Amino acid sequence: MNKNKILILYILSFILVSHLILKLSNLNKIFIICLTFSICFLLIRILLNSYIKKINKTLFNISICILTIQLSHVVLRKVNYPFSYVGMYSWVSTDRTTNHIHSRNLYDLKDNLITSNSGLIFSPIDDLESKLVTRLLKKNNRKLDSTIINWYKIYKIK
Amino acid sequence: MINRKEYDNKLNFIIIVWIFFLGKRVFLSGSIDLMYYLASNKAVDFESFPIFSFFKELILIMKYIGLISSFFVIINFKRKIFYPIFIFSLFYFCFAFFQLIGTYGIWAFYFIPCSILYLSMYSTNKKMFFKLLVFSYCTFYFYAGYSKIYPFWKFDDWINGYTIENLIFSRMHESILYQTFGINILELPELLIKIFIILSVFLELGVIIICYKYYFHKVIIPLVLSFHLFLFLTGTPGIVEYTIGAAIFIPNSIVTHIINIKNTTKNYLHKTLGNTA
Repeated sequence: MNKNKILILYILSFILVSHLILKLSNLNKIFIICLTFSICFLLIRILLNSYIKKINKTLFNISICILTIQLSHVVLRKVNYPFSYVGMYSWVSTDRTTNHIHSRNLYDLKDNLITSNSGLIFSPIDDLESKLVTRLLKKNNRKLDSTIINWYKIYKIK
Repeated sequence: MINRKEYDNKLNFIIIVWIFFLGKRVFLSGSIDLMYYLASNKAVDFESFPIFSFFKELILIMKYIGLISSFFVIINFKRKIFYPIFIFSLFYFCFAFFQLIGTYGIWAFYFIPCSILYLSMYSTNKKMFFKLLVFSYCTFYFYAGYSKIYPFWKFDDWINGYTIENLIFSRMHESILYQTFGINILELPELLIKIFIILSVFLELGVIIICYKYYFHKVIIPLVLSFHLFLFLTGTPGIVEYTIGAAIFIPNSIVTHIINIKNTTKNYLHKTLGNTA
């Protein structure tokens, strides 16, 4: 059994154990993470100790720590940290929150779209800048709007 | 059978491709100048964005530090020194974007793989680091899929919820699918949309198979990239980042071919310049 397989087993056991604890108890989520980590780590160390002895222990322990942080982010529903692999569109909203188009963008004098939330490949401004501007405009902040218009003098917000 | 030299070449290739892409995308972006302008005009609340409050000129300083370090990393000059400087300046800006707009996916995708690449410079076991790189790529998708169905008894919420609808609707007018082809995704049959959502979650979870059987990357990676392409058509970002990220899976034969071309050009230039001198 190689290192990757042991780590995948750790992930799967973490998922199963955390679900079991979540289903059977009403504990605090941080406590669930700690408990799950302890159970899974001990299980892996006891059952697969003979395999673990053969691999680089430091690297193995670092990998376990990173995986635990990432799995904890799923349990805690925390995203947008550099080591969080949770994914952007993971949040489930069971209610309809959008019934009108609310994105505000920059347009030129001929009403051509200059910026967009997803970034535009062919545009006078680059992809990242396009995303930044659209998401800043979404804040509906007057000070931000006027500063952006001052920066892009030839465009208008719509 | 892939030998040690080939793994070394491949990791080197990935470093060059990623650093070139990330350096160009972040440090040469007009967004940094805009950020500096916003900070200079106090358009952003410094209490909410403490990264700017230190001193705003740091934004421009970090931009040039990032550009210089990425150049030295690409040409392999003192890479062990300049690579961490590059990572630091890159993640400084990623954090700044995060503070400004609340989200920036690029750092979640590249942080761990970039760190693995850095650590690989200190080891002779390149194969292990390549496997770790593949593992980190696979776990990225696995966690994205897992978080959608966490906890299992709420999987139904993701399918029946309005998350996808809200996302697509808010971006519909800027999407290529709507603008160019006139397709309104919300008018498609509900069942079809649900099947697509379920398949996308299974695809994300299924990427982990590559860790077991590397051979399957030939099927899974094109599917993943098609999935990103479809999302891009609906106005969702990420296609460029994730396509460059998939450089890990470029066949070794192509990498070797590119390196041979590079070496031939280098030798030719040496010869020509030597003769001229």
